[in-house]
Amino acid sequence: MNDFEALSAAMGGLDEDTVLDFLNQVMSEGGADAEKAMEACQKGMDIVGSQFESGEFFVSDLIYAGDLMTQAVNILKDALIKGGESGTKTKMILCTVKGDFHDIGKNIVKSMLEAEGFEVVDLGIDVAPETIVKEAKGNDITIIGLSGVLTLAIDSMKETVDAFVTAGIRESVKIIIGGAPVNENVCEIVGADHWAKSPQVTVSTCRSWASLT
Amino acid sequence: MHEIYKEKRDLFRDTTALKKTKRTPNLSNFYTWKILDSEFSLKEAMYDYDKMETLTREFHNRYQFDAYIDLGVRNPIRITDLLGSGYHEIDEKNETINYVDHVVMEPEEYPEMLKNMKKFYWTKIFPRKYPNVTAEMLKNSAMEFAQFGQFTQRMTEIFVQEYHCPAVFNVNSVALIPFETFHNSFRGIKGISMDLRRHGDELLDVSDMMFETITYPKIVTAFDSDTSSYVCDTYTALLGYAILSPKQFEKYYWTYLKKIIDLAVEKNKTFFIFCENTMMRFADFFQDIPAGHVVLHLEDDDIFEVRKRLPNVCVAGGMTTELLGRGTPKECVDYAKHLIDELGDGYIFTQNKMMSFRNDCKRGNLIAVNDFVREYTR
Repeated sequence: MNDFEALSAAMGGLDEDTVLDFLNQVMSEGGADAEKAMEACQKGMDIVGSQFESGEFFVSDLIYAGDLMTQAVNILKDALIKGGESGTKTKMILCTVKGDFHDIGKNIVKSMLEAEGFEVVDLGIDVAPETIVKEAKGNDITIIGLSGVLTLAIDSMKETVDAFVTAGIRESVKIIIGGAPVNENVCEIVGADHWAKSPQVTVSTCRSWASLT
Repeated sequence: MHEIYKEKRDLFRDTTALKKTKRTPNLSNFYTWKILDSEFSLKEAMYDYDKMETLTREFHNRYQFDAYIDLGVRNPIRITDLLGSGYHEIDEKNETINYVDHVVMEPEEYPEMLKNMKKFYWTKIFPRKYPNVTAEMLKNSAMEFAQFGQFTQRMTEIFVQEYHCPAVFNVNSVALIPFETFHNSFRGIKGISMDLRRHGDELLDVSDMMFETITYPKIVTAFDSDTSSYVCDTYTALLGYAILSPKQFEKYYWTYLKKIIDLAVEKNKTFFIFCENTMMRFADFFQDIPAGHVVLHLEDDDIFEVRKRLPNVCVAGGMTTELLGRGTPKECVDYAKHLIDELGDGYIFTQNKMMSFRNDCKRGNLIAVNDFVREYTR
């Protein structure tokens, strides 16, 4: 019998060998427990998030956790249920804004959002405002996450928010910004709905927005 | 030593020693922004040393800092271009210079590097970084490097002899903590993050070797020479440390940093440390350092909180791109006054960020702030 609590703990402690052995075992048994294993991994990512909030883990650990979660998904994906009520996910856009090529923070947040159950449309780096608006409009996506590390990202974030205004859909989307130069003041300058310095805040904010839709 | 030069040098040294000074020293943390503030394009300035000299002179004439961390010598593109690198990307439209991250070392190669670092560098790292290099390219690059050295020397002499500005540090006394080499140059951010958990012991062994054979001997030699004319006796930039937890910092970083600090204290020298991102989670490590030997140049930390937490270190930074780039002259000057009044002795006024983008600063704001800092006495 599979001990999913132990799997969560292993994921939360970033014990790669234990996690992968467990998941490979699940698949070798036919994959019937794949959904439970995925939920356990997601709980484990919550533990990682808490460890980050407490200061025990930091950025390198989140990068490692993201990689481990990606490996977990790749092992289990063929056995995971696709579609249906339990498979309905909230879509959201995530990207690094125009002029900025950093993606480490964005990728960490992406892993945690996916672990939370979001379907993340990752537009990549150096993304023009028009591209983001087009994607949101074309796919009825109402949650937008903008990332940036350089100070020039502030201008690009503002241009992106302004592009949503110009497109006439600003009121129907929620925009969160994150990254090194971001703070409350910058959030006001940019015109975003929320800002975050940690992945956990991004996840909890997006979760609360998703529950309203 | 010219009287004005000595006065500025002593101002920085006394500030580092946490002594009361007549005024607060003003240090330039401007990089690419200097080019954007000039008549030249990024490419023109980066490829023409005469143009870089012109704009750097104009920068000083306009803003009159006491010292400059960069004198237009960052990103020596002319040298690496001749090796066929293409790592630097100059985007004139977006006004940026980007350095493309490359992973040039595999995680399984730590033992090979430990066995013979020089051989490993020349047979593995160098060919991966510059796969198309020929003997002719190498020769031309070496000659270009010599020209770059002459340009660096020329810029230092201009600022020392004509403008009486002390050089911040001697290039031979820059300390490179081994972790930075792997994070910045060999393994990249993702690679080193994996290595911390998968190859931790090997990383530690190689770091020990690099520190004992390269970093530490270099600093010992630097401290045995006369560095008294500089703002500080040794300098380092903490960049890759930004991804480490306190436990990881203790294991993979602090041992080496502490040894240099201990030597600085023993030899009565000073150590200027640029802390990219935030360092406050590592404050405990710095709390027992004897006062007067370390400058922490802060980027994203709350400088007032660091001052309270670490009254034994000189702090530098504080002036934000938010105000310099988006505020009014009055707002900038008011905040500069607040910084100087609150931080008191042991504070070097400078910008928090490495000033690189057009909206990081407005000319009028910088003139107003620098005029104020130059004249203000607490």
